[in-house]
Order: sequence, then structure tokens, then C-alpha cells
Amino acid sequence: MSWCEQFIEKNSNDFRSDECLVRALRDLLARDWWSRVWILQEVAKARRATIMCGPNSCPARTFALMPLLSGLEVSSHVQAVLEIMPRYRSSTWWNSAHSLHSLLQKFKNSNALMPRDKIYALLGMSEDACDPEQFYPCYQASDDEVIRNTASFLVFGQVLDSTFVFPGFRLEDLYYRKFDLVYGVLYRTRDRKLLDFALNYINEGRLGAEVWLEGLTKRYGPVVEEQARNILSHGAAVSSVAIVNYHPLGTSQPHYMLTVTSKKHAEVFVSFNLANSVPLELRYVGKLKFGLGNHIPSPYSPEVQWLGETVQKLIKSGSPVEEIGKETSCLGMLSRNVGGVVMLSYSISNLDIDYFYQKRTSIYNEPKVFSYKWWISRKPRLRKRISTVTYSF
Amino acid sequence: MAATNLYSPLEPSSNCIRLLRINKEEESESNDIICELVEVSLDDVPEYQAISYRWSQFEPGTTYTSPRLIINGRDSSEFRVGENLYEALKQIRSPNRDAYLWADAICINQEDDKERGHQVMQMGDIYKSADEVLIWLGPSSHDIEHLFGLVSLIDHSANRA
Repeated sequence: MSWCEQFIEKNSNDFRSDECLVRALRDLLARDWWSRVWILQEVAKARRATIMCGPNSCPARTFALMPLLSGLEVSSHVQAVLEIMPRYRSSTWWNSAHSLHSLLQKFKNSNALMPRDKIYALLGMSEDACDPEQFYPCYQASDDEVIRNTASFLVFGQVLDSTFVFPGFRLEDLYYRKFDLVYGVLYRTRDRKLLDFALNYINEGRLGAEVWLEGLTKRYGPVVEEQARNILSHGAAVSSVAIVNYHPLGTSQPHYMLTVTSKKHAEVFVSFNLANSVPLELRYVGKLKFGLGNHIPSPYSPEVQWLGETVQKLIKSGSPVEEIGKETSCLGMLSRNVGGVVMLSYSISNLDIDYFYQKRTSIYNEPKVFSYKWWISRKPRLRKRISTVTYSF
Repeated sequence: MAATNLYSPLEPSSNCIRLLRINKEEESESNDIICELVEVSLDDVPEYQAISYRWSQFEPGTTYTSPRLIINGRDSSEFRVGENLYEALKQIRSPNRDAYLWADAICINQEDDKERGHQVMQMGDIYKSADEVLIWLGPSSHDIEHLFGLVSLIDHSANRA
């Protein structure tokens, strides 16, 4: 039993029935001080702290335990502030890692006169953003610049210079999980330089698969963890794990897609439906390619199912069965927006051959399908192009 | 009077901060709160308290009269002292010894964005180096007085054991 638990056990009986105490606590914990963002580091850094009201005062280290002692329920924000008070903090979450990102999430309900202070007030408390050489408060920059620099730091652990053009982030976006931020960068950037940097960063394994996995487990439960670990075991060099939530066309239930990126750029896409407790199903192993343009988080699943039927159709229509029948080694997808026309391209590859499938739709108003196209080509490494067959539907 | 004249610039490369010395009560015949801004370096391990409080809406030119608040010989209306901080200063002033306090609204030149950025970076060190952080929650009440008395008692017995 920790000192804290012992203390509570010893003292709590005396207080639960004392209405006057509970009234005082309610009054104090509802005061504006608790929601001010700057108080957080002031409390977290204090070696000793005293609570003062008018001429009265008491030690903060014991005050921090009073809501627990008196059985008073407090908001998660107030509780988090109590938990960074001197002494109490040695037995709370504060004792484990507290990155800038986790602090932003934990204290997102704080208030500040200037929006940027909701970030700056946490720098000194964080373990990763406390080095002013890397990230420092700047009151001369615009709000947008401040948020952009923070997003850069949260995603890449550094503030990239202004030649990297980030997609627009709002302050609230910074409270999202890290892989949501990463997806925000990958899918929304129009800057080739940033995109290349981001992909390199992922491919170098610097996004920490294990940390991401832990986040996934927390949110989606052990089913996901088990499957994710299963996928991770496919390749030792896995560098990132992400999950996206989407609504497949024609269904009302959300599906989730897990993507695992390895250092070799291979991806495992898994689609599963949590609402039905359908076990995770490995759909395909493929290469994810990114092109420059506005990437669309696509409704993968129906396309993928449909792709299987399409392959069957191809075989029936006389395409080289022996080639398609070989075990498919790779399936990739690329979606891009060119002047409002979305092109979804899929490719299936085995050792000898690439099959491409392309669908063009408009992103404006009702999605309108312009065309489907299939073509098959021999790999260039064979140095002779045996045939190119185009099927139109 | 331009606020910039109230402050002499701090050396940005050093660990210098300004502290508010609140003179002890008996030195003031009029009962005014008399303060001076003094520059110290954190490297010299100065003894001081740092206050954590809520900023209140501040009306420029607010003058406090009972008692008056005087900083560096000037009326506090030239500084950005909100009412909540003023109420705290009244309590922190000690009858028999000078108090050294760090309070952001007074000890940072709020007009100087550069200094503000630099001091914000130092803020963690400023609170860490303080002998004590005073958490000012505002006015008291009978219930609060009772609660604080009890908390102090528990604290005392818990730390004797």
C-alpha cells in the first residue's frame, strides 16, 4: 500500500459526514484558478506549495488529498491538477511519462487569454519539449505559425523550418492522437518536400510502432491488440501502426482500418467491424504509394471486395489465368485528386506481372464515376512488353 | 508614462529575474504597501516565494486606495496589477519582515514581447527555485477556515508520524 492509500484509509472516516468541509471544498475547487493554464507548471514545479484564501492557508500536499478523503467527486481536469501538487504527484500519473502531447490532451480544458499559451504553458512541464533550443515560446509569430510549429513538433519531434509547408491545423486538432496527426500530414499536405520528409520519417522507423500499438489497445481493446501483434510479427521492421475510421459505401456501421508500415514500405491493411465483433481479417498485403496531390482517405473496403470479383471477371473474359492465378504478392493503392477528378488506382503484382485498375470519380456534389479501366502489363524488368490489355466496364 | 520606462531591461542570456520586495508593514506609516523591484540571478539561489493566481480582468489605470500599492515609488496604476493580485499582496505582506515575491504580472515587463518569450521559458525554473509557491484562491469563508484548520492538523500529524 502506498503512503497515499494508507493516509486515506486512516483519515477518511472522519470527513465523509462533515458537510461543512465538503461545502468548502466544492467552493474552492469551482474557483477560476483551477482552469487557468499557467497554474499547471507553477504547481508541477513547486517544491513546496501553500493554498491561500484571505488570511487562511494550509499545505497543498495534504489539501490535494481532501476530495478523496471526503468522497467528493471532482472533474477529471481538477483531479489532474491535484495530482501534480507536491508529494501527491509522486504517486500519480505524473510519475510516468508526460510528453507535450499527453499534457495537451490531459489539460485541453484549461483556459488562457492567448490561444498559444495553451501550448506554451505546458512546454516547461513536458519531458520532450522543455529544451528551448528545440522549441521555444514566440509571441511575435502568428497563431497559425505557432500551431503549425507545434504540429511539426508533435509529429516529427522537431520544428521543421518554414520551407516545409504544412496543411492547416487548428489548435483543437493538436489534441488528436499522434497517428491522426500523422495522417493529417500525409493526406492533406500539398507540399512535396514535406511529404517526402514524412514518408522518410516513417520508413526510418521513427514513429515507434509499440507506442502506437499501446494507443490502439487503449482505444479499441484487446481484439485489436492481438491482431495488431499478429500483423507486426509478419515483419520485424514495422515502423508504424495507424487506424482510420470510415464508413464503407452502402453501410451505416463504421469500419476501421489498420495500416502497418514496415521499413520496406510494405503495408498490411486490415478491415474489421467492431460493432459486429467481427474478428479482424487480413485483407491484403501491399505497398502503399503516395503521390503528390490531395490524398483522399478512401473507402477502401468495398473497393477491395469488388476487386476480387473484378479479378474473377478478368479471368472469365480471357485474361491470362496462369498469371493471375499465381499467388499475388503485392497489392497497392493510390488515390489522388487531380483537378477535382479523383483517381483510385489499384495494382496487383506478382513476380512477373502488374495488374492495374483505375477508377475516376468526381469529388464535387454526388460522386460521379467517370470510368473504370483495367490494364495489365508485364514488368519493365522483363524488358519486353508482351501485351497490354484494357478492359472497360 | 510609457510602461517601458518602468523596467530596466533584463540581460537575456543570464538567469536574471526581477523580484518584488514587499516591505514589512511597520515601515509604512500610512499602511501603504510599499514595494521595490529588485533584480536577482537564479544562480545566486535567492530566497523568495512565487505566487500562482488567476489573472483578473485588468482596467488600465486602476488605483487602489486602502491601502495604496506603491511599486518603485510609483502608484501601482502604472503597472498591470489586477484586483485579485492586489488582494493577495495585502495578505502576503508580513508585519515584521520584508517578503520577496515573484508575480508574473509585475515581474515581467508585459509590454516587451521578447522579454516575455524569454521569461516564459524561465518560468519553470522560477517556480522550481522558489522556496514556496503560494496558491492564491481568493477570499475565505467560515467553511474554508474550518477546512484549512483541519488540513493543517492532518498535515501536522501525518508528518510527525
